[in-house]
Amino acid sequence: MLYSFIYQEKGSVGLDILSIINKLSEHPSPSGFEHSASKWLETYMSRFFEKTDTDSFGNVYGIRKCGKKNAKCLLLDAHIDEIGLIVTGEKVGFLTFATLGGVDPRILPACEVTVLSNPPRDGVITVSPPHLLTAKDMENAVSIEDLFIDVGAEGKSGIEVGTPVVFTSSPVKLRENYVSARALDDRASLASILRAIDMLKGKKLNFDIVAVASAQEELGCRGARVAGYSVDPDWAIVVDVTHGTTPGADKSSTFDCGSGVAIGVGPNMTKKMSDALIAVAKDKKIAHSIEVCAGHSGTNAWTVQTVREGIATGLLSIPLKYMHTPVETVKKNDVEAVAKLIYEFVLWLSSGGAVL
Amino acid sequence: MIELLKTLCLIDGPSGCEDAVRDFVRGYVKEYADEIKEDSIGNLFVLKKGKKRRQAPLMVCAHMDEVGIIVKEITSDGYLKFDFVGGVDRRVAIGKRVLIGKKRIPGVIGLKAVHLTTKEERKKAPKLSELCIDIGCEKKSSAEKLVSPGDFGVFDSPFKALGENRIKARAIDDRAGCAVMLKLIGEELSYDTWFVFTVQEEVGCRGAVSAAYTVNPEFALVLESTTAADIPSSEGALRVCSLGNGAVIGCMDGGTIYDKKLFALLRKIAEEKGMKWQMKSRVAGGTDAKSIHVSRNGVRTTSLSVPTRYIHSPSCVADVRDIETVLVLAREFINCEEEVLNA
Repeated sequence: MLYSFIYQEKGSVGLDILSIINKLSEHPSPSGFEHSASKWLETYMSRFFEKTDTDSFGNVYGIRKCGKKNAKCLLLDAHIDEIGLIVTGEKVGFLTFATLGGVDPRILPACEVTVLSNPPRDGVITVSPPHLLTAKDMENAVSIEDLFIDVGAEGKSGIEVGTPVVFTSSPVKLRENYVSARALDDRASLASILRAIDMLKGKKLNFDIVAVASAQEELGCRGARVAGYSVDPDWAIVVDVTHGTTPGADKSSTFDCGSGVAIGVGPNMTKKMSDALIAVAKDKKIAHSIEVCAGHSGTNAWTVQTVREGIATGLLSIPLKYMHTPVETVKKNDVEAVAKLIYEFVLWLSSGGAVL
Repeated sequence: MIELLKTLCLIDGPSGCEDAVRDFVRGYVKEYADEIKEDSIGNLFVLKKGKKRRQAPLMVCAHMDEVGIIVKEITSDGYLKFDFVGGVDRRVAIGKRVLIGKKRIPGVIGLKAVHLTTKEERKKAPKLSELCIDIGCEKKSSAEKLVSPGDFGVFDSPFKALGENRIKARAIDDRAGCAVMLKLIGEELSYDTWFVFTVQEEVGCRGAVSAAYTVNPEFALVLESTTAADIPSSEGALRVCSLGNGAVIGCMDGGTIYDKKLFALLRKIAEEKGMKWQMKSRVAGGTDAKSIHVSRNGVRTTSLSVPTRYIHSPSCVADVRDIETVLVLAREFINCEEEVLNA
């Protein structure tokens, strides 16, 4: 029973992965508009860290000091932003919009959204009724120019141009330890980091850990660059999601949900970091697979690796189905596998693995 | 009224599986009804006695069923292949949550990640055969313990207020009509009236066929929810009808040319009462009237409908004031003096 471990260290928050995910889900943070979620997250993270901080970019930091002078530092990164939409104008009470991050317009018709005005407003994305469509019409994807957000306004909506929008959906538990929600990219990863930190409570380490929930990953891995510079760590582990196997997807580019953590290998990952992560996973019998990235990993590892003089960077990924839809789906066991690998890696690094 | 509609919209009742709606209706009308009966297809007949009895009887109806999902097959890796019950544009199902079967097993309809698609793929809607429901099961054997081919499903969509006067829910078509009928059944009526909660409207107005035969009315009033396309991507007549512009009085649709005298009567009632009414600017859709007006030796049939945006999707939107208007007009109509209706 590889996954049935329960780490309940003294003084630990003892939070289950799913309860962390549920909590994170309540706070929308579309790319570039993370600040209000960041503010909340700083408070939330203070139960895991002795010190927390934010920066002007919207990054949130959790700091765990080892108490030693000139100690080395490990950065753990997961992004806090999620894909969304942004209001660009209004047409007879309906909102026009553009996308924030990579949104496939095919998920939009009849999609429920939350417009993050003050106060937030519920909305529905328009769709033509089937009674007026031909079978041929239904074969084509609707283009984004033909879609609008209906907030129930009669006349002017009162919503300002530039207001961000997110999909409306709260997490739902599926069978066999799966959970489905919007923004599990990358809240599942953040949950795994917080879980690992919680498991490390009470453990004596000989280096500092800074966890960052970074902003604007979906727009080009921007927050992580700033965070990498500010923290100036010796090592970094970036945690993100990768594609879970689904019907219709090319199996060679996906990972089965339940197969554990995918450990990144390739030029974007510093070899000694990848090697060490794989060795620890093997040694501790943590379910894992190797994700080969020939170039850009499509994650914050890309920007973190070249910050300042360069940071030794590793990448851990959680297989996730239906990425960038309101029903992103992960298996809890895989999120736990990431938490466990971070935990074991930290212990290994602290007990001599520091040859890294 | 809105609380009642909310309750109704959250009950699962795809065509052919209206049991839960029928149970709720039966329970609700028990204290008001003078007679309740059910036929073999599942229609529920409710007689409400009034002060008088009509020589030429009137039947009022609304359908209990909604568009939904039916499971066709369980794949070897535990996914559910499905079809739609009733007319659903598959494009509205992508990225939505569903509830399957009597146990309401949660599932999601996913889409291959945008990162893994080609530009050509993104131009096309995935075929229905490419879509599947994910309930989390990894093996056919484990899914089979929860779901069977033939199980019905519905979209999991909460009932919400949208703006000041509008609501968002699934199944407004035609729980709005059902809610209006329940309100009327609770009132004092001038004449004996049969209210029929029909089944299988969404798959071809089938319950109404036997319902009209059984009741054998002279007149029929159909309470419905109808296509509104008053959205920026539709122009002119293609907008069909508009939210907030009042009840739609049936004139002509894909299945029926409605009784002209009854149309004139409803229009007169609306104008006298100062209630908003409208006509559809496009011949689209159909209602139970299609089956009723040709029943036996013909039934003089009319309809009142609630304009509904994004109809047959998980997120229908209607205006509460239009529903109230339908209630007022339906009340006036069914209480019409015999000679007025017969005129």
